[in-house]
Amino acid sequence: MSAHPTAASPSPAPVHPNYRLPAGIGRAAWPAMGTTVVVCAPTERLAEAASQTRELFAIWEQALSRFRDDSELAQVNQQAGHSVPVSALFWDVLTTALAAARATDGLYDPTLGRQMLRIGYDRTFAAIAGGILAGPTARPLAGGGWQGMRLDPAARAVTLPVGVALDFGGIAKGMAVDAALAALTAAGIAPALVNAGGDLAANGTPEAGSWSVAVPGDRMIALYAGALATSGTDRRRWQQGATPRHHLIDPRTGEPVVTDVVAVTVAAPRCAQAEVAAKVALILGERAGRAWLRQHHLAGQCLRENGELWATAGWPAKEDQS
Amino acid sequence: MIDSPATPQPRLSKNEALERIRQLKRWVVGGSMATFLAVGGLISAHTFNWTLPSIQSDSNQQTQQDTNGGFFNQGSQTNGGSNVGTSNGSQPVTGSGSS
Repeated sequence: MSAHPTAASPSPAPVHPNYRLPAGIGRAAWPAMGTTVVVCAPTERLAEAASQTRELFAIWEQALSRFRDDSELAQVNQQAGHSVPVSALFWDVLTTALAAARATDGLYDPTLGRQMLRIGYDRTFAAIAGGILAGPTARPLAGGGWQGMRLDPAARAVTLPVGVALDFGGIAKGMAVDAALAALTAAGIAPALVNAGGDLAANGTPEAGSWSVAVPGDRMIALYAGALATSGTDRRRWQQGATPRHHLIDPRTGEPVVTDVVAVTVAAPRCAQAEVAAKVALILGERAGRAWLRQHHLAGQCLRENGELWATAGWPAKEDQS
Repeated sequence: MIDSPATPQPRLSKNEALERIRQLKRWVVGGSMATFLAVGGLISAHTFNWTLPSIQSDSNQQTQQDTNGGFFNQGSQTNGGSNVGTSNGSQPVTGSGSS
């Protein structure tokens, strides 16, 4: 984290050439949790907002990264079969992830760590991007390992079944966004927006009345409050042997999702909810995904491979139709 | 070898016979209760779909069951649709893409 810039220094992350900040709002960006984190806040408090958020993401990454041998998650995974005491942060993320798994009947699965290793995602994406990895040496293994986990709340300890590994994936990023925004709100920094690689949330609106957010399908929508997240198969792709891979695993098969959906974007009160919902809708595919979003009263849009867009009720109409 | 003639079993007295019947009744009642409890337990487990991770305390079990399916009810009671609208701006502030 020492390589990260200070809030006042220029951002190393590329800024979309068309992005434009509202009056009185500044932006800071830096790499964290395998993506780029962006904070938009009133100019006079931007340095404070960025410093606070950067510190929070550093702590979360240290505890939850799958790619750090010294992370708490790595320690828990290495001791599968044994009861391991965990920090309050780890416990919070774990219990939230299990609630998400139950709420989605296991379509969101926090125990796909082994499956990720099998398809070659065993190091940061930056390290595997562009290369061709050796083919898998093991047969696909369906998920569901979370159902065999043992929790001891009195000791705040977790026991993973042998052969099961945690990978919180996007929910940790979404929860970090929620936590960062809550901290900014508590510090009286508003309006502010935190965006971690497309998973974003805001605690108020700038003078313009909303945050204009670019979403897949060359669309732009207004965010007034709450969160937006996008899950897609168009990013984090690589080649394993002769097989093209991406990072979204269907827990029913243990293999990367096969779908005609390219990206799903969902709005929800919290970023972690939006992130899980977008992933589940993508896994289910167009028809079942749309029904699932309706069932959970969540607004979202889906971009199909052929470029067509569909949206649920509550999602803004296309600009040229308004 | 020459088979010896079967020795006739001595007849049970009436009291002994009644005692054996009582013992048999106790076995039948006890066995029925055990079977009932075992089958009842299996049916309950199936009905409530107890697939949650093992919980080692009653208080936590309550918490886990309360949050079962409640993940999407946390936070605002309104759905996400009320938080988004059609953008009037010509340029976005930020983007939500695949991550």
